[in-house]
Amino acid sequence: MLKKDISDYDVFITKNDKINENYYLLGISRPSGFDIMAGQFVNIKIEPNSIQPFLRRPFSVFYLDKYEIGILYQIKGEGTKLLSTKKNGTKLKMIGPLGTSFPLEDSFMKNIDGVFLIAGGIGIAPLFFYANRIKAKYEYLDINLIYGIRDGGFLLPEDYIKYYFSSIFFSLERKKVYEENIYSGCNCKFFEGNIFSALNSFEFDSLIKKYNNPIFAVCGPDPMLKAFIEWNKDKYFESYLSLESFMGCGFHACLGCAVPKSSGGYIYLCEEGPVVYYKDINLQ
Amino acid sequence: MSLLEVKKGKLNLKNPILTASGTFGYGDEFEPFFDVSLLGGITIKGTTLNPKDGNPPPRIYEVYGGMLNSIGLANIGINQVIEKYSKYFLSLINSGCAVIININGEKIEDFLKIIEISDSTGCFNFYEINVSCPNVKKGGIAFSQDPKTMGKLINKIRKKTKTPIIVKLSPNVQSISPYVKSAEDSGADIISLINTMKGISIDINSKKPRFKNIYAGFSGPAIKPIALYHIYEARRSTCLPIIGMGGINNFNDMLEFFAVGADAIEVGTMNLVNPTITYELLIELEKYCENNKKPLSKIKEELTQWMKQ
Ligand SMILES: Cc1cc2nc3c(=O)[nH]c(=O)nc-3n(C[C@H](O)[C@H](O)[C@H](O)COP(=O)(O)OP(=O)(O)OC[C@H]3O[C@@H](n4cnc5c(N)ncnc54)[C@H](O)[C@@H]3O)c2cc1C
Ligand SMILES: Cc1cc2nc3c(=O)[nH]c(=O)nc-3n(C[C@H](O)[C@H](O)[C@H](O)COP(=O)(O)O)c2cc1C
Ligand code: FES
Repeated sequence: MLKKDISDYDVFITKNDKINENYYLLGISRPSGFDIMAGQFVNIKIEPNSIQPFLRRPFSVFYLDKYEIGILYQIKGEGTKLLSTKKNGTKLKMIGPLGTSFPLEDSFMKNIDGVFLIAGGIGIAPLFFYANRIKAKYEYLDINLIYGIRDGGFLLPEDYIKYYFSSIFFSLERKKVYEENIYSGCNCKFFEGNIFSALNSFEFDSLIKKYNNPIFAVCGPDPMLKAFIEWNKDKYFESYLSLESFMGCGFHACLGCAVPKSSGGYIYLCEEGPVVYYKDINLQ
Repeated sequence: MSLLEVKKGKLNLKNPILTASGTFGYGDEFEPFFDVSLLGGITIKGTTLNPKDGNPPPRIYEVYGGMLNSIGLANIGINQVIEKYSKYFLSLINSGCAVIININGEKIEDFLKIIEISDSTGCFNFYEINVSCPNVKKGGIAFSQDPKTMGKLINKIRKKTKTPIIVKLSPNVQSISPYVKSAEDSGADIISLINTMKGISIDINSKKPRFKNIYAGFSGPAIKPIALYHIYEARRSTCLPIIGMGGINNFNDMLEFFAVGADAIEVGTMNLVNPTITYELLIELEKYCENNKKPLSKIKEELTQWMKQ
């Protein structure tokens, strides 16, 4: 992506719906000429005419329609709380497209025979978009989702999830309540605990054996990413992680978004991330 | 003479709108948003002799009315700056946009070496000597411990170069006046202020400071009154040109800085939030002068009248 494609757009809200107990789905008008790849992010000024909240807030893209950019978000603090109160038509400022994306080049994808998406909570957002983009180009590829959520209050509506995945492994903190099939017709399995209850299961083991060259795309809270890197230490699965950090600008002007590199020094996540190759970073 | 021109001592600019170091990268990061060469000048990221990794994360945290930063002068070092950006800087200079390098060092020799390298390239119009960074253990603000230590540094630099020297002062001092005077006596051409204020944020969940260095640099709209105060004090201590900064967020803020005696202004933190802010200020200022049928110099004169009474 050329840097020149980045712009600060005037956009407006096209929808802002609460879709479960914890998540909101924000629709933003898609500016003409705006494009974005799976894994990249936009940096949004929630209150363009006020200095409060002060900085922009970074969000991944959940889907991209002809006229709309979809963002899946959860309330974390002041900014996202305020965002959840905004009505259709509200104006926002949006810088994008920013950062790196999940791999999708032909030269890379032609060697892949399966995709594993590992999402922790709201980390599903960029992975869902990735699944969409993979299916649009490489319909034949199996995509398997390992999805860690606390409870059913974090589940996405069935419509969002049923199309792309050959199988879904749910890890729930309280499995029992949700075991009766949540999504009709999907190939779902349920595990109790965090995502490793699924990743270390017999079922996962037999599934992964089907593939010679799978790739993993992972997005979730820091502790989950660290644990994933540890889990992958003796497995060497080709993995791409989507990370988070505090961001001052989003376009490589402040050097605020440093993440330690495995070779020493730092990468700047707004430009060399948020999607990084698992070997390149050192999550401390 | 153009309406917006600034001409005072060694401060020659096509307009008074500049960017503050560390908040504008090397300038080219902002090219997707507007034509940077329209500005009076840009100040590039604080530069050291050797590349510097900077502080461990977290490096920024949002606070009411601004932010705290603990970047720790992360930068690619003078040689890479020249290698990567000299062509771009020269193109800016050719369009009349001044390029200011913000120079940092642990020892006096570091400053002198950077200046030697910079002098040989001709791609900087001004050297801004940063004696006010609160985020590094050595150098930085240590040179502002007392006016004498700072004066010694400036004096050595003065002897080394003919390029105009800007001394960037810290607000973390009892009184700015002795520093302004020492800078002037040691041969500085221009004073710039303020750098960030020292600040702390505590994470009440972990019961620890958010930053590994404990304190960080506070910037943004909330620090504007403090910046205005220090610039006012500086103005009363010297006739040298002053570049004022600290929390500028809109047109009226900028006029306030002129009203306490700033000859030019820099926008810092707000560049991160609104990357076109300097361009917007420039357009507004141009219109303001046109509507009032007065050059900026006249407007500044009127705004500072109160100080002469
Ligand atoms: C590349 C990227 C993509 C993201 N995508 C999504 C997404 O699709 N959906 C979603 O719900 N959230 C996403 N986040 C996290 C989201 O940016 C934060 O939840 C949000 O900034 C919190 O703002 P707040 O005002 O509600 O919280 P507060 O805690 O009040 O925020 C205070 C400050 O911390 C910053 N901050 C807090 N948490 C984060 C964080 N995790 N990352 C970066 N800055 C943070 C804010 O920008 C702000 O400056 C993403 C973060 C990054 C870096
Ligand atoms: C992220 C960040 C990095 C900065 N880096 C430098 C620097 O390298 N050198 C310097 O002299 N000042 C640095 N500053 C200070 C600014 O140049 C400016 O003096 C200060 O932020 C006050 O202006 P503002 O409130 O408009 O930001 C930095 C400020 C911020 C926010
Ligand atoms: S967020 Fe400013 S450099 Fe990455």
